[in-house]
Amino acid sequence: MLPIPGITAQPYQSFTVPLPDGTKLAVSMMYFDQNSGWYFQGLNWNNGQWQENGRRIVSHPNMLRQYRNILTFGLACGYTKAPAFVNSMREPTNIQDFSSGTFSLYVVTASEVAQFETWLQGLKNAQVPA
Amino acid sequence: MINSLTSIPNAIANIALVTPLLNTGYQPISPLNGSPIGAALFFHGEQDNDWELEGELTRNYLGDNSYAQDHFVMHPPIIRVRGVVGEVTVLAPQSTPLSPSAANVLSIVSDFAPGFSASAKAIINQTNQTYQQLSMASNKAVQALQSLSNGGDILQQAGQLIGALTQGNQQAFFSAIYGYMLQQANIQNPLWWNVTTPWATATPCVLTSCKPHQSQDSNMISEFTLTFELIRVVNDGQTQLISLNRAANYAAPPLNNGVSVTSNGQSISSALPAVN
Repeated sequence: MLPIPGITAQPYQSFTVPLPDGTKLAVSMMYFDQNSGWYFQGLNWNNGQWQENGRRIVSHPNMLRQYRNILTFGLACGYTKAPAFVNSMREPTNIQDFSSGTFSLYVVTASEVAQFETWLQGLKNAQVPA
Repeated sequence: MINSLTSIPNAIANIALVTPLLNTGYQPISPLNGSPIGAALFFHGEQDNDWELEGELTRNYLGDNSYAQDHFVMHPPIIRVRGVVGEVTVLAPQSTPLSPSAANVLSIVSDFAPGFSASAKAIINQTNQTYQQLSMASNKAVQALQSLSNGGDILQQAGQLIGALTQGNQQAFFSAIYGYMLQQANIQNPLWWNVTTPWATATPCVLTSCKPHQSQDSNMISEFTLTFELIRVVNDGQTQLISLNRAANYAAPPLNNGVSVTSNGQSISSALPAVN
């Protein structure tokens, strides 16, 4: 997972992330006080090849899992301190959660998207009674 | 939303206890400071006084179509007063502490009554004098209202609608009530009421209904049914810190962080919990 640096406590902010395959992801995000949460206002991949407007940022290994067959990447949010997705998880509900380093936004590479699917399948298999 | 903790003492504070026999009538007041506007209105004869103190138990319907009732809310009290206004009365305005009606009646039958003591006569004379003064004041109030209906704005409309400048008692009472009701609807310059009932004086109220009625028996007397509703005012407030933060966040300008180049971090396999 590739942490995205430079997220501040500013309620409205935007940035561009170069992805491992050479494409770019333009991100604009906002903090919504009344819902106590961070949102993606807009995600724009590869100059409009794929766009999504409006998604709450939650703690998840791949928030874009539903698009895994058309995207070459994923986006994760979790604790900055490893391991990111274990131990008393909560959502990024504070405006300072990213700027303080408590949470990080990660780019998930294509191979890691596949690893997560494998992990999920293992979880499903483990839950099926013998 | 009404803060129940503060609304209860406020609601009780709006009801001043009254001396039952001392009627201060129905007094239009200014919403700004509660000061009286014009003279209080009195019936020549009080009839029924009613308060409706009602509330509602909120019903929350459940999945099986039964319901839970868990919260009681109080509706604004409704005050209904009924009285008569006549052209010929033997009653002084009821603001007189010692009712002069007895004096009037007694003076008529005085030939058949035993003589009064000097002190009683003094009281009767004093009462009569008070009655005369009040009667003159009442006439002046009617005249004042008539002059207003020639020159005032809202009251002028009422006067034109009624079309009677030489008014009897019934007409004067009607035109006053009608004018005040119209003025209640004037957003820029409304008026409220201070209502005396046998149990309490309610303030501030709004006159929501007036039903004048004259029966076929006589054109010398009219019955008025007035319905007042107690006003409930809400003051809202915000925690300054929260509102300031929210306002600042909503008004914040967008910030462009430029290009955020990622670096290597923890691997997803190490970041996920182990599957047992």
